[in-house]
Amino acid sequence: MTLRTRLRRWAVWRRLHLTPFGHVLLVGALAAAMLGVDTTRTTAYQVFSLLAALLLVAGLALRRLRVAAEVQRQLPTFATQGQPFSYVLTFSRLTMPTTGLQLFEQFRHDAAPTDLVEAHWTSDRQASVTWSPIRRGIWRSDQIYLCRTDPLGIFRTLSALPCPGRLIVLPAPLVIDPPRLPGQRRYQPGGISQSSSIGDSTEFIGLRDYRPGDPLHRIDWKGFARTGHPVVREYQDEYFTRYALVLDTDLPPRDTLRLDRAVAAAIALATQIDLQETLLDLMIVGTQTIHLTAGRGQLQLPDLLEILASAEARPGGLQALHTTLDTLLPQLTAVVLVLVCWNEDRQALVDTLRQQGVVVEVYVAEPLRTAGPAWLHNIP
Amino acid sequence: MMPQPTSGSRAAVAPAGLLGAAALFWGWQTGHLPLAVLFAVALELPALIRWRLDIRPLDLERLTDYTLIAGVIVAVVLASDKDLAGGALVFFAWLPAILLPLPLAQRYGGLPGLDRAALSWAVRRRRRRGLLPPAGLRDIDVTYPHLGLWLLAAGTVNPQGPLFFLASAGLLAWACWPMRRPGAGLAWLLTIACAIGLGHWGHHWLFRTQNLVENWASDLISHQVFDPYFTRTAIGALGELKTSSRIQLRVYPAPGEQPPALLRRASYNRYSAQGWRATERVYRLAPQFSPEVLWFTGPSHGHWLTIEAPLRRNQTLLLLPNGALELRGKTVEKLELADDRSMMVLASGERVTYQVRYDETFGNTDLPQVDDLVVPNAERAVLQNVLSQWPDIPATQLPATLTAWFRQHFRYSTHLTSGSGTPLSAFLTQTRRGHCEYFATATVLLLRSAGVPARYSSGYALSEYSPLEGAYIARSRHSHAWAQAWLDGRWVDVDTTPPGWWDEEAENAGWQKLADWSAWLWRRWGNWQPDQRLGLAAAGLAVLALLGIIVWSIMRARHRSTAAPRRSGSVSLADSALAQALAGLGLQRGAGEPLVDWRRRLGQVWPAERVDHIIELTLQDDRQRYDPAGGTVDQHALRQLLQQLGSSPPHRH
Repeated sequence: MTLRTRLRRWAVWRRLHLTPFGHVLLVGALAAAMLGVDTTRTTAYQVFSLLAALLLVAGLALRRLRVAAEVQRQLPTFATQGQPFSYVLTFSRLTMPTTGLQLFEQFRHDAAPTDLVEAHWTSDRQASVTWSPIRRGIWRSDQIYLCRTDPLGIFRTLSALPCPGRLIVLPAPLVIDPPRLPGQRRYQPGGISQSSSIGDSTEFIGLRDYRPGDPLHRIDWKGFARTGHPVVREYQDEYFTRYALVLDTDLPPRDTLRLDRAVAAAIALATQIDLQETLLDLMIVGTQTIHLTAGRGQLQLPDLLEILASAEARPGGLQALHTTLDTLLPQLTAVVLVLVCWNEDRQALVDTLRQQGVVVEVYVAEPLRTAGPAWLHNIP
Repeated sequence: MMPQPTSGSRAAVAPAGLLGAAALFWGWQTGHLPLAVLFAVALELPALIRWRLDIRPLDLERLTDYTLIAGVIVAVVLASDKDLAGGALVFFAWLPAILLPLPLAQRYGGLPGLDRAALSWAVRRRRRRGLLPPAGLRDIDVTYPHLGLWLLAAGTVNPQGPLFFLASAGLLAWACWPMRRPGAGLAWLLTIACAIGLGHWGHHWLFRTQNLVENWASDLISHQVFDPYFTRTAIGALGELKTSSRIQLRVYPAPGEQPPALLRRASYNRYSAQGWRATERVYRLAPQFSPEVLWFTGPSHGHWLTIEAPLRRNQTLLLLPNGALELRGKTVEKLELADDRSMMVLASGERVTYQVRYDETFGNTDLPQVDDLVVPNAERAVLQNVLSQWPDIPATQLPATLTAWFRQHFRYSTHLTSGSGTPLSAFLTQTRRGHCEYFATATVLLLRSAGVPARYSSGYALSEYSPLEGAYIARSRHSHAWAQAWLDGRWVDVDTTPPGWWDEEAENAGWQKLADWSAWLWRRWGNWQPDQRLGLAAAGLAVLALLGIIVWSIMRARHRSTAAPRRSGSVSLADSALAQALAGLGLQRGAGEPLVDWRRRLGQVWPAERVDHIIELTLQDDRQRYDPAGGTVDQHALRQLLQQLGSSPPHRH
């Protein structure tokens, strides 16, 4: 365990076990100890002695908290980074009155410091939590802490109630003009296609001679009667338009701000592509490209949002993307690239795609130092 | 009103009255009661009035920055004026006053605490980079920390006695009361009583333990290098002085002769912050006359004395009798000499042995400097008051008169007590007891006040003969201080400390000198001051200017809150003045009315250019009110238009 991790854990432990007032006393005691180190020059050592005694006696006066309850957390599925939201905790079979009981939620994130959130009782059974997550991604909470302080209100004693929960935090929303992709209806009234599978539609295009293997219900009996040999009705083949949304994460791990903008842009683009009409291949560039397909009968928008929200920076991997795209390219109508920066490698990638006849829309998450190509979109 | 108990985890905000009481306590202890009353009123007024300032996060950031800069300026001024430890204490004593704008901002802004970004540059940077949300972090309350500052600052003036402890305990108990666990009244009372009892026992224990440790440590570290530029006195310190009995010097006079009573190490001429400093002292390499004779001057008669003294890092300041004429020493590798005839030697080994020839009637004759007449302003009045007893005394008689006066009215004591005013004035007028540093300092400053140039000398008093060693010895606790006065064209020793002091001087130790040693480099830097008064004046002006900026920025914030609508928060849905004026004429833009239609409608009553003007201003107004990106309205044009609409009603044309 690194020192940084240890310090973080200790900070969480401290925040759970020491009240803000306790923190003030602790810092005061340390300051008084430093100032009063020479007892003949100042009387700060007397203040130190008092504060140390307060901390010690409060620690000794702490009794173990024995409490049991069942708790339900009504956590929303999604939240937005930096935006406060509230939810409710409902308790049943609580074995002690709520007076003097405090509640804490501890949210963990793989790539961010653990966050401690205090809940406030709204009634004997319910408490409300208001939290503003500081980082996008998946936050988890395994338990709810019930706490009680010592009589002086300096230390807390805890009891954990198991209550697993999970929250997807999306980056702050971005407004992006929808990409102009081929294969989409424009200027006509829209509507949801009734088809629920890929294959033949009900659009009749003609008759042809029966070939062994044709389903019997396709045989046009009237035609059979007229011609004397079996003919079958033939219908229009239908396929979904297929787009690829590529999120570039080839960044140093600490450069979170640019990646956040790229993720926000990718989310904005994904929400603007109609998954009822099209298939969307989401690719996240990394040492191994993550490739998922969304559309009707496939992954849905919430799944895409979750995957995008938890994207992390992974240096390298632009080459792996080339191979993944190469295998898919014949089926793709257009590719939407969300890039974290603009350089020669990325220019080459776009050129290769264009040469193969695919429509490419490019969004870049950093302001370009020199004027780039006119078709490059800057993410605001 | 009884404060309501909180759950103990909400922002801990000090209850009304507590900070004011702490400020008054500070003022009472430090002797700045009128100022403290002012601070207390400023801190507690918000509890009585409803008026609040509209303080924005950016204002808070500026406020903390200015406060920090003011603190740094004060610290720099103190560092250049005083020694490190003394300066730090004075700085800490004033720290709550320097940081006063922070709790004032919290209270007058009606805030639960100060925004984290205001107090931390790291948070500001992370916010700018988008790593932290612009709002939503818990505010930091500064009232309780400020209470702690008042207490610690009050402690820096070293108010011994039970009162400080009792008052601190009372204030802390008051601070703890609103934080108690709900329903824990009796348990709280028992716990706090236990804590105060334990704290009382603990502070006595700490004090005694430190004395023990220091006595032990002083034996370990008594081989210190002495600072020729600075010596800190124990003036103003309280309690029992510390002791060490380690033998420092062995003095071998010529057979049948008595050694001199005093051996001087160095002289100092500027007194500030209970320390003596030597200004404009330069040690120059002494020309060597022969391999044996390191230095000589004047006549060739006198008494010989052999002295063995410890070395530290191969060097030491030699201890010499007044009127030294010649110096010899085999192991001395280098000798440096200053104007006051203090000598620094470099030698090899643990100890240095040297021979000195002296004649006490040939005192040092280096001319007095301006600094040998300087009396600190703070002490001037009390010194003049003492001297007024002998209005017409000639300068030559003053040393004897002072010696007699001190012996008659003062008592030697190593147990130090406090009085009001500066430590020296307390010594001269109230306690009338102290150790040699008090007597020496008082004598020097009294002589100077009477127009006699004088210096503070430190060294050893020789009083003890050790038959075992066959030498006169000086122990650590025999270190002594006395005055030197410029009389009849030479420097004469004036020792006014009542005799027999070494019987009581059983407890002098070196904790203090450890501080001297560690602060060597710092003081050399501190010795460099181009012009102290100019620096102080400039610093004072800078602090005043900063305070002005703080007040101005807060007042500006308030003005802005009344002058301009707030961008953040809810937008007023009431119509603007322009919309109301147009509505009064029945010409406002209807809900959902296309701009083209509205323009046509306006065009029926006004000429096209005025219509364009009205539409432009309306759009500007809308942008300012509703566009998250903001916008500004040409206020001058708007006022003109409103006047025109009021004075010239529309007419069809």
